Amino acid sequence: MGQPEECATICIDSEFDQIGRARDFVEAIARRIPMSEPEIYDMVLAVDEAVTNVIEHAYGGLRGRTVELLAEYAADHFTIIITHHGASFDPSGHQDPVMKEHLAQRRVGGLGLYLMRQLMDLIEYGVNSNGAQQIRMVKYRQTPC
Amino acid sequence: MSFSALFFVKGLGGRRLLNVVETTRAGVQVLSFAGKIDARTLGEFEAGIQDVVTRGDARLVLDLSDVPFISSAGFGVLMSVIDGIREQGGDLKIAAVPSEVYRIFELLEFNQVFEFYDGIEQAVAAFDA
Repeated sequence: MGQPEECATICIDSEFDQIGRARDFVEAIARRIPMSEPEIYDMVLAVDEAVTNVIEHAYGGLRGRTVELLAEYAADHFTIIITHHGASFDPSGHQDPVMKEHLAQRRVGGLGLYLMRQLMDLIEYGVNSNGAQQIRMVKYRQTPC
Repeated sequence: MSFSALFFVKGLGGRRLLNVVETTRAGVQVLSFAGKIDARTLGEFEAGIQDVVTRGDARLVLDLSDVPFISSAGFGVLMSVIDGIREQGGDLKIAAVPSEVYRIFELLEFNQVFEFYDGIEQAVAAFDA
């Protein structure tokens, strides 16, 4: 994996109104690199799902908390790190749905994490040196410069 | 074609986030949404569909040509409404989906539950096919 060439950060409030800012932030950086339309859409959707989960589950819908996004990119990949101070999450307890069964049962939830896993090449959950929760997502470029 | 309804969600500063225009074509209700469907707008997305269904109009086409983004929240709405529509003897068909959004529908295998059409006219015609 190449070394990061540049990084940028944004901090949003824990409100659904703010998710669009997170999407716009990632899209703007991805277009500067540039990445392909499918790659950009994949990352924007994955970030939307991740930030939505942070607000809804990690913060339990509480307003007035912060969600920080750091985006860094190199020649061959794009990394997004989402940092928050909400509840931790253990993805190992969440198996991917079998879509045929999921659809047959008309289940309305449970697709956010599945989409993140499908759209990004790497997703890691952890804690940083300050004790904050972090979600690290990586997308490898199909056509490195 | 007749015009039936128009409503929208306003964002900060009055900027519209999700519009829907309802028209009737050959006895089929066509809901043309415009905007991004996410955790913020999913309530309006669902209301836009349910408002029509509760009137007893259960033959619906969703025109998504001006919907460039749908998160899992929006996919969940579609799952939540479809059985009620079919129990009324109707259906919900999906038309004119932008390519990137359609790619996600395919990823989630939604064609197991919904019919997709390139255009509104084809979707409307499919009700009488």
